[in-house]
Amino acid sequence: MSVQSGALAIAKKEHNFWRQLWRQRQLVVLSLPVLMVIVFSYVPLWGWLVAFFDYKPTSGMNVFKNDFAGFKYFIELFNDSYFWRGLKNSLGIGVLKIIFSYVFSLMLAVMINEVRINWFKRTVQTISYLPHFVSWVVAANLVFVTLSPDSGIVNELLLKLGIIDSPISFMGKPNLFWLIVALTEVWKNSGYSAIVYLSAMTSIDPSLYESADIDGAGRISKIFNITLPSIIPTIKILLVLSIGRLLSVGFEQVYVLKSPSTTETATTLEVYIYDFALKYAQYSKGSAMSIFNSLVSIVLIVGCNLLARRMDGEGIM
Amino acid sequence: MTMRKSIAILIALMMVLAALAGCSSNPTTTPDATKAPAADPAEPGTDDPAEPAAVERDPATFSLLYMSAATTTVDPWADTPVGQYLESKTNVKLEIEYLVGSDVRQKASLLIAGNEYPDILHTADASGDFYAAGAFIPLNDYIENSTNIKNCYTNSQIKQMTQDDGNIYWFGAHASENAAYPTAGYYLNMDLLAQADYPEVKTFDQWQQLIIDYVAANPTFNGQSTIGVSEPTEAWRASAVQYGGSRFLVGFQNDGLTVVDPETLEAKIIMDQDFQKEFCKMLNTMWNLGIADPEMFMQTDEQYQAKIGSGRIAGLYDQRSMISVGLDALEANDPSRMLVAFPVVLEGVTTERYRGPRAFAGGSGIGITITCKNPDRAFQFLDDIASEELQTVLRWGVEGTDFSYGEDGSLVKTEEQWANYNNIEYKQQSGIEQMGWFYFWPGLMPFTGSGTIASPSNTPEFVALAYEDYEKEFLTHYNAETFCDWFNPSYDAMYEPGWSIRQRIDTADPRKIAGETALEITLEYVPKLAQCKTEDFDKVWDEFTGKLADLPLREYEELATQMIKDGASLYQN
Repeated sequence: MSVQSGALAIAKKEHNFWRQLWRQRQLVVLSLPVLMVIVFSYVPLWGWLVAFFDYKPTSGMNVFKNDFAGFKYFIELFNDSYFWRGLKNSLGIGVLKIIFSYVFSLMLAVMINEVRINWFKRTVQTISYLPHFVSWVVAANLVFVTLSPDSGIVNELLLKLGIIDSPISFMGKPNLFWLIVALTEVWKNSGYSAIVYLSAMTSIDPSLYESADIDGAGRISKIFNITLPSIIPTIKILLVLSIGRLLSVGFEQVYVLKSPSTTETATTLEVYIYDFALKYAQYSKGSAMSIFNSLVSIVLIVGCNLLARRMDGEGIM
Repeated sequence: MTMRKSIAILIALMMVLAALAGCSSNPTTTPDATKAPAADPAEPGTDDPAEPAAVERDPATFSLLYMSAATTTVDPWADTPVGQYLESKTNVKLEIEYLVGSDVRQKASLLIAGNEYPDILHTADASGDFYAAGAFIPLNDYIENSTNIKNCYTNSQIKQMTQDDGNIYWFGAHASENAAYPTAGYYLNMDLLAQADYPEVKTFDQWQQLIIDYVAANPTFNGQSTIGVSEPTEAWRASAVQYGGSRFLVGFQNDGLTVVDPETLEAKIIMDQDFQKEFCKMLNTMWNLGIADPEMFMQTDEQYQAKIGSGRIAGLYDQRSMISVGLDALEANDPSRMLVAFPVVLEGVTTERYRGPRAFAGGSGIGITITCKNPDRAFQFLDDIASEELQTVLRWGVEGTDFSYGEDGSLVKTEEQWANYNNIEYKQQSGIEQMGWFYFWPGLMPFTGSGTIASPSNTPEFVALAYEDYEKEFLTHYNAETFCDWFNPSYDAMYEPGWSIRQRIDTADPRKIAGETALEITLEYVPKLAQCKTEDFDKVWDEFTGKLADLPLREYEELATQMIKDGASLYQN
């Protein structure tokens, strides 16, 4: 083969490549989101390397300029009692939040579904999901003002009704903090999560209800025997997803609700990473913690999926 | 919980996004500076110092971040006569940004992580962070060749600004002194003092008893309960309860989180000392009597200042400059309940050092960052600012409107101009004393040209004029001229203050981390100590000191002691 024809062949090949690319242009555009996932989810994983080096910010992106530290920061972490406290708080708040938000949003969805007056249904739905769009910063201020021991409305009310003798500092009590986080989460997000369940409920075959009516089933019995079983796949998928996020309990919510009095129960892993590592430029320790965080999440999500499969023979992944 | 904190978090998120989205793109904060041809770096100091206006400067734009929250929405450069005067003389447009929130270290971490700095940066508490990150360009050669700046610092001050690597990265802050009001103290409400027939408040016990008696006699004010004691606890403002209030009780000066023995120069961490226990005990007593602020450990700084402004508070410990917003509001609202500071000590302590030394702090200040496009022009700008003419404008205002030259060349203000100077709103609108970060010339020193003390607030004329009628009336009860009369005067510094030392220690140093971790633990335990039952107090205290004992705090003390001793010779001249 002569040199010339070889070049020609390459040119032709390139030609073909561009032609093919043009023909599949829709597919190319559709694959852009994948690129975004790579850029925003995988490229930052480079930062994990920081956890294995004595990282100094002066070295910039070139992590390898620093001394290799191995698992030093992980060992440091596991010997750190504050880290375990953070883990306990994260798990505590995470579990409470999942339980509360499941129970309340399901309840809300079922109740809205049972309402027959359309305008009332829509009004309730709108009002209940509105808080979702309020920023936590604003919401936290509302919470503080409402629960304030110094002329907050809840304390005033309880005092007037004679239930308590002196104002209770709700936001200053460490043992109430988890509950307050869970309840504020319910207030803010259950309306929004209920939408998913409601949409699942609309796809339930009406003939099921009709035949139940013929069999003489009451409302309660229809809820437990038709509505809830029909949306179990939705419940399951949401549960697995939320368990994967168990340790990411919502940094901004906890951060804006906590105060020096509640440090003991409010320092979740994320807050601990922020207050003890990022704020004092301990990037390596912070990265080690966030790797640990991710590992726990992966274990939980896989475990939960296995459990789901064990229970009725089909997983979701 | 707090608007500002959360805005900071928002900004953090935005910065992370920005960093991800555009590592390559470089937001140009200095569009004009890049266009303008660079000034000749070889001869930065050949211009006539007295008349920067005579020299045509290339137009330039610089950004500046001041690491403290803005006290007004007025932009001191673009919106004020003083700023505009400076702009016309220096031909520089300055884009001033303030810290949002109050967490300096947090902002610093974000800047460092993004590796994108404003052209001119104020370090505040984060000098060590910025130094470790290499955020600043060295200024030694610039200073040597400068026209004005080199005259503003003594040799020992230059030495104090020099870092371990032999370079100067930021201009230190000259000490200032408020001649009308003491810098810190244990405050009491004027109404309380009037009811107690104007006692001389000397001891901590006496201070507490006055508050307890007052709240018992006056349980409510304006329909709300009277607050016996409140303290700030948000972010770094919590330093008042972490270590700030207790050190003065035993006669130490402000040395950050340490106290320094003036004889031996030994530094000791405050948090686990007995006098800190006394301070916490006071909070505990007040809490169990039900007269402490129930929101003390969950309030933002704004809420705290608003409470001060309402006049509900009987007493508190704080530094005056930190609560100026609240005090101004209180003065406008109900001056009869103004707060007055006293140099309170524990029983048996003979001396007090509330007003502290006239120190020079080389540990923090403003510098030019590595991301500044045109550092030569930036330095030329700072050097112009350091001229006597512009230093005068910064502090005294524009000639004609705010002051005039007397026959002997000294700076003179008419009574009306003094009244304006005493009016915080006028000062904010005119830009006078709004740009303290540019004070190269020490405020306590007379200018070489005019011979007048640089800072108007340190002139005798001002102190006499500074007080309102109610204050003058109040002072007659104590036979005093000023509110500083019952404080010991300030003195010459014998060593670098401990707070400046703390700023200089490298952030990655485990001893520094130990110190900062101890502060976080203290912030967790002060509320516990305050809110526990009186009989449990000692138990909680032991638990707290047990936690602190796990940290290498003694090593921090050794390091601080060593640094203080090493630098002490610089304070001899």
